[in-house]
Amino acid sequence: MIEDQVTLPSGALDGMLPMHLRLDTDGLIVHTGPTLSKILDSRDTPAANFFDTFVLRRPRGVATMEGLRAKFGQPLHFQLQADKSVQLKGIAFPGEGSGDTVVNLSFGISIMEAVRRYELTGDDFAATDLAIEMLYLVEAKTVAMEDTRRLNQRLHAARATAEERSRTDELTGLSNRRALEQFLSRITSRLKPFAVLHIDLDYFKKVNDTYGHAAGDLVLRNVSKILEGSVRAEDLVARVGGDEFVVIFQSETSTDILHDIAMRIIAEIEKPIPFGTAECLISASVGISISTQYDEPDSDRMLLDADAATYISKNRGRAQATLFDDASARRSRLVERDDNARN
Amino acid sequence: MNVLLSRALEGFLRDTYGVDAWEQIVESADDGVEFFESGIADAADGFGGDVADVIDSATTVLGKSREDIMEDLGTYLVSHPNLDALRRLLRFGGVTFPDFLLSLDDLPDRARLAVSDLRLPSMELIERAPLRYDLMIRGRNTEFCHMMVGLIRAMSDDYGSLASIELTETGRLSIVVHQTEFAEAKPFELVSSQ
Repeated sequence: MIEDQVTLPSGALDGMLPMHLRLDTDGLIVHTGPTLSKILDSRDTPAANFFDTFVLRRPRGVATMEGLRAKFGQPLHFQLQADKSVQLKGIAFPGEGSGDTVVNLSFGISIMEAVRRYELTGDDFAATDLAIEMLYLVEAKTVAMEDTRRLNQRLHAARATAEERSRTDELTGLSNRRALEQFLSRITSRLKPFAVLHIDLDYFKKVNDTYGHAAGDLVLRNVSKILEGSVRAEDLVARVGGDEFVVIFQSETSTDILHDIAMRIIAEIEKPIPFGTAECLISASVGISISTQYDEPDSDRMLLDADAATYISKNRGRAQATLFDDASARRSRLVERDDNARN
Repeated sequence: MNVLLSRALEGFLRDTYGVDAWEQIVESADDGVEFFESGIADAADGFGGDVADVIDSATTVLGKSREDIMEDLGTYLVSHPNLDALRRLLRFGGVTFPDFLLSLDDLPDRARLAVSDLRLPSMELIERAPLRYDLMIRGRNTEFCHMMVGLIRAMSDDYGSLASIELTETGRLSIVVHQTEFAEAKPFELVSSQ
């Protein structure tokens, strides 16, 4: 079957395929399209023999015109002899004259690199070439991704702040009850011993009523500083009510040491706090529970028991620390109930 | 659309008039704009909702007309160094300013290719005579038309062309290119050097 022959002026081929070249029978380059000329000139290689200028990488081992003719119509991959980093895709077909060959080339995935190196512009690509659209798309996607990344970061930071805020007591900066519960569930799951100190301020209401809320806030901040100064990094101080605090000591189970700590805290809290010309005087009652007191330590139970021990301290005249024990707690509750019944 | 638009509007007002003015604008706008700067406010609203509130508030605070604000926004989008990425993307439209004008037909598609939920009104460029065009913008969105006037004017500067751009009626921009190489064009390489 004889194929239809189409004859085009050379300029038309240059316009449609600005990266094509024509070879004669011996493989001499007799013409290059404008964009290819720009690339070859800028490499200072006198365009002579095709195989001196280009290396066929795939299929391999083709270095003669005869070999090239055998690959007409097949996808070809070239490198520039003078610059191996430039990858070109190509396809070869028989040209117009007998023995002539036309090879059309394009940049494959190395287009970004090539455009930069040869300073190519929109004019260097055929109007039908999607190269510009591809470059546009790469850039647009990069910009969009960068934008998304930045938004993500901002949202992430906002979430972290919100999270932090939801776990912090606003006035004192201590942990709040929520953070305390999270901390306790974390350490109980580790099965390490720990102690709970429940601290209830005495005469706080009097300070608030006498000097106002500003004085009350000052006192609370002062107490939180004292408590934070009494713990190690692995412990936790939380404000769990208006004038109630909980301290968790990890791995500390000695009743003596815990009692000492509690008494030291009470002594610190009792130091007068100047407020204007006045002095705020408060004290504290402390209740202690220790995980080793229990067969199966349950943090909720231990918080309640430390709270109950605090009440015993209060009933005994305040400013003291009491270790929870079942019997006395029960007695104390009975006393309270009697008191309530009498009133 | 709204996400990018609200951020562009905020950037424009902040960069041009300062943080104080921006805060004043937000404050005197309706209280719905508190999520404005997070860029996640009502994503489908276009020029409605928060964006409209902020534009309204800006006219009062800055004592400028809506048209002027939108035109200035269009200019800002192309000419401010912070938004060089956008200028570059627009320059991909063509090698010369008339080529760029012809590429405006494709702008909504190009925009959607970059950001899939970015919907711009469709546009058609009609060549009335050599270098005299009408850009028809569908959707009768006055704000968008004014923004395009500023944007195209700034692009003509970018290409170093001398052109006059006017909104003759809602949805119709008249563009007359007096000189394509009037001044030196701002540099544009196909692959960003950064």
